[in-house]
Amino acid sequence: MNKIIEINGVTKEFEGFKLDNISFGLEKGYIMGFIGPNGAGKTTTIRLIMNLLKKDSGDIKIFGMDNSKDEVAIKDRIGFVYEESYFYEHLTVKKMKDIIAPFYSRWDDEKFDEYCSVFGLLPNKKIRDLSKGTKMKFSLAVALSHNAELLILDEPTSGLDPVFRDKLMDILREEIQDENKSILFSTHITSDLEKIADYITFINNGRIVFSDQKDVLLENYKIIKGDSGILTGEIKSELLGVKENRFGFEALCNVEKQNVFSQFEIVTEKPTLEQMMVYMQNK
Amino acid sequence: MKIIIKNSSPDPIYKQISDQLRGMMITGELKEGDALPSIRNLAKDLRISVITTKRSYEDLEREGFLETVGGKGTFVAHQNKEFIKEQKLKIIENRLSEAVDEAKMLGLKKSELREMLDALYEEVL
Amino acid sequence: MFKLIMADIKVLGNRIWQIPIGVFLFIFSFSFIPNLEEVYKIHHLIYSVLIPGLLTYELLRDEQKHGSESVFMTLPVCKKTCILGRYIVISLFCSLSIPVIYLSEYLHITMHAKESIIEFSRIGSISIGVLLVIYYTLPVYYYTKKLMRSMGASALFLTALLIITDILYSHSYRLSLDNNTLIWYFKFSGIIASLVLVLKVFEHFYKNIADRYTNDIIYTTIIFITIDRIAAFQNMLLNYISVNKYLEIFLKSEKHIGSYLLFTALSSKHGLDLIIVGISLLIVIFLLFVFHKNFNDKFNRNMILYILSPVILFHVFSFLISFHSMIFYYPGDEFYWNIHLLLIYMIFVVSIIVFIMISVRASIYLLKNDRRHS
Repeated sequence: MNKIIEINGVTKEFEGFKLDNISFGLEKGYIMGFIGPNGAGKTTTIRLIMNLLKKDSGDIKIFGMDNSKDEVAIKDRIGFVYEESYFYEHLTVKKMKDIIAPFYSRWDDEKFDEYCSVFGLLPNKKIRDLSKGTKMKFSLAVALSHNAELLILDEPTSGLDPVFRDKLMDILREEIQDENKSILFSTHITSDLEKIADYITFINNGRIVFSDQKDVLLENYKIIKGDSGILTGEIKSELLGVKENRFGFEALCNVEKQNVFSQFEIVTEKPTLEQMMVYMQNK
Repeated sequence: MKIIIKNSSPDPIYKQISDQLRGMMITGELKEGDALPSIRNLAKDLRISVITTKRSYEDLEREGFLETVGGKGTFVAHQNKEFIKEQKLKIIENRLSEAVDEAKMLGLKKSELREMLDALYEEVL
Repeated sequence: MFKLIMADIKVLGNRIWQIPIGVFLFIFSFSFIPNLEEVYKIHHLIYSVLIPGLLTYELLRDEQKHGSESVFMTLPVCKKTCILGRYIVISLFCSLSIPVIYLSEYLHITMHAKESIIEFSRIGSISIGVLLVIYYTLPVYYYTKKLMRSMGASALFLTALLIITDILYSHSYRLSLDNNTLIWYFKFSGIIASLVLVLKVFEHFYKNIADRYTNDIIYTTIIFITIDRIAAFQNMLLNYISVNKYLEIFLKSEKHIGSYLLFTALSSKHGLDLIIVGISLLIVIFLLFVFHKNFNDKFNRNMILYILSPVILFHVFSFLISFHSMIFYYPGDEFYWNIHLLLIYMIFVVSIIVFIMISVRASIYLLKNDRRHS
């Protein structure tokens, strides 16, 4: 079993929103960035993976097992970090840990204490008295303390400062040194993923736009900048997204189509993930 | 061992790494039998994707510069350094003769060409 | 399972004290209201079920606010185990009320120097009373999210209902009317009158939310009436069967020709009553169906399934027990009477627990299948 996550043809429909034919996979030992604008369906997809929502069709396999049939065995091996703190606010850090720990078969108390001291988590503080960043650190400590093989992080860094975000990347890099672990990281802050991700899956309006190796993606597209006069209808149709203003245009272009500009004076640049997301938003 | 990645470079990252590693092996900074960091370790330290480091190592392995011993790691392969150096010198010679031809067509003097060479050496470093 | 129960108890721990105090206060305070003996007889059981149920809803609402239900949903636990564990904890909470009931009863006796009035044998009407109050409290609670407000609404409704039906019954006495259907009309009018009273009071005090749950309360009323009709139908059916059974007995014994004629008349009268009740039941079910179609709200759509089902369950069980005893036993058999009582009591307890289980499950179901907005 090489693929830790295998999603095939999954659909889920709500009032006013539809997740349509979602398919992608993640192999052992890699980090996948799951990007998309707000409301694109990232959180819904993750909830479907965790079996918090029932899918309308398709199938989801985690560790090679069906995610609804072998739910318990699967969740034992997943470390889950949620967007907002979902713990009971009136309990202390220690009490919350005491509630959660017995459910995991490979819980490591020593590891948890280690993370607590590294993160500066005081065991007797009530969860409602923790700052947002500290609550996230607690979630992270819990997710990392039961020898999970798959880490799923659902927008863990929105609203956190760059210093902590950088620290989080370091921790994730350390985790991925073990090639039996994988990480699925959902966010709309693409700069975090720019360096660390191996694979990128871009979701928009409930559909997967692309799912591929990050390097391959960034090598296959270029940002083209030039004079607006160059743009004819034909050229525009070869481009993936154009922004025009008085001073010129900026567009995303597939490397294969780059030759349409061969006779013009243009500047080409490597795109960032953010630019790719912005220009591809109409796909 | 020093590897620096330039974001502004047009070369993809995996190529920058394999170029720099190759360079070190040719100059002798990396000797035969030296152990290289694992792809994951390298990825962590350079803060890049493990697929990138994997690709560089694979390219270098294919060229014969590296060899992977199962379970132990990746090492600098035994190779004929002299032969490689000769290959590289040949490439440089070809490129220089191209440059000389162009210069002659333009009517450039040797001293002017030398000035250009000096300026370029200062720049690329 | 044990882990879940321990977990739930740890989470709910500091709310446990609210149950005995709440139950005690309500029961005890009602004992001071004169001429409400009938009310008092069922109130204690109503609130002993209601308060823990509402506290559970409060917990679930709190969880929904913070998304804490996700805690258990992301842990390696089977969903069914999770829900079942919660039921067990809630049942434990409910059973905490029972010693409190007895304490209140003891105080009632010593203070008013009266006989003990807790009668566990009045199971049939109690289940309806309990469910009646819960059905009126739920929509108010669902929309206003305030425990006190919902309790107030249900207390007001119940009191109004009993006072109004009391007045109506005392009038029927003077008219010497003794007709099942007529008595039911009084009940029906009493319910509508009390309902209108509660709605008017609420509209006055809470103008902005009154619209939203007016529909729900009307819907709930129809559900309640359906349940009442089901209960009535069951009673009628049993009466009809028992009368026919007596007929059978008399036919076989070939005695008491006079009684034979009486029972034949009774049989046909009961037969007619049965048909009338059956028709009213069908009408109400039709109304329910029509209303059901008009609502998009998940709360209402799930009400039918999750709330009617345990009631029907209870009535089917209860009917089967009575039917069984009627067919196989003759009146005067002491032995069967005690088992009958015990069985019915057990059915009652099981049905109420099932009701709570299903309602809690309904809320978890609703929580999980709504996309989290706001």
